[in-house]
Amino acid sequence: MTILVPRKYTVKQINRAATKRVEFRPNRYTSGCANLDDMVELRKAVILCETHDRKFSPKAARYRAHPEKRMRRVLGNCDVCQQFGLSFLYLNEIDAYDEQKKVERFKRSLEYGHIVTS
Amino acid sequence: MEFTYDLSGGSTAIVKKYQVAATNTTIGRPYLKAADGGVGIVLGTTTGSADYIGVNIDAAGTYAAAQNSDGSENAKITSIIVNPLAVYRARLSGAAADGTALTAHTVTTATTDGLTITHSAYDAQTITMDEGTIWGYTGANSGIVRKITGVSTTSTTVILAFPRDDAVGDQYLHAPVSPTRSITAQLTTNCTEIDASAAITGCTIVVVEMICNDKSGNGTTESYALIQFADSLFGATTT
Repeated sequence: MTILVPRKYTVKQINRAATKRVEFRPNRYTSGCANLDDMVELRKAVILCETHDRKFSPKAARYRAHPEKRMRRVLGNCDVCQQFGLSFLYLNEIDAYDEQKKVERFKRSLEYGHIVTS
Repeated sequence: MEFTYDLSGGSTAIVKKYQVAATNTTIGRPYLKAADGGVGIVLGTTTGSADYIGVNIDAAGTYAAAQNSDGSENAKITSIIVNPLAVYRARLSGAAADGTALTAHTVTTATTDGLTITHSAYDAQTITMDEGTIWGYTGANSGIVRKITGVSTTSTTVILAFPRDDAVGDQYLHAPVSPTRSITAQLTTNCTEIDASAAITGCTIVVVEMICNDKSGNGTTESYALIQFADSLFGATTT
């Protein structure tokens, strides 16, 4: 049995504890997962399983799905729960923009190009 | 270079995050296995792809070997596509710098058999294009592709004739790689494209297919080789 003994806290201590709790709670600025927040902060590619993908807002984090359609689902470890499986891949907007240009350029080349396999 | 498909038949990339031993801001660059005593995976070079592990899809920051004063993580990671049978598209560059246009070579003497393309101003032998690919950029054979079977300082020979006679002033493009044939190639400085102006030496690759464009498709800047790295740490290791 745990006996809780009432203790007097200062306002400053209470505020500090509240701030600490918020850090680990999903809100407009953080996902509630330190690893995912680190990835976003460092503009790394983010991999999320179906469960955690539903809780992630790419727009708020300034992320986008990979411009290449076949790269939107990858096999990898979720950045939140670390489970390996078929997951969603997101890039930060700057990288995604560069990749978008590459994809468009390649599509144009396919349109007019002659594919050689021999 | 960008992931295009996997030769196993699937098209799903397998992505793993590894600690890196070098700073890199370029996406689409090959990485190699960690060296003995190294802190993580190392960057491929223009001529080195031994024990390749994959191509990155995000940038890697600069790691700090010692602890950070604020206690933050000092290791840096990057996301790598590790499919050993992955096929990547690599643009053909006309020089060591990424995005350099290929040089179109002009016919100086017309032929009537479609077997010899004479281009007095271009030497196809010194940096050999033999066993590579030639295709029409402008003129009668625009968009027609042939495998090169012989080269000299003034001409290129094919064994399968071009279907039409060319004329003086027609232009052709050359690449030192050819589907199913090439086993080495040199990459551009950032290692994201194939340097089609360099000798076929260095990275161990196999060209699965090529996309060759003529002038209407901006062939000098929009031609690609779809390649597989043959010396993969996780799969088709040749050494």
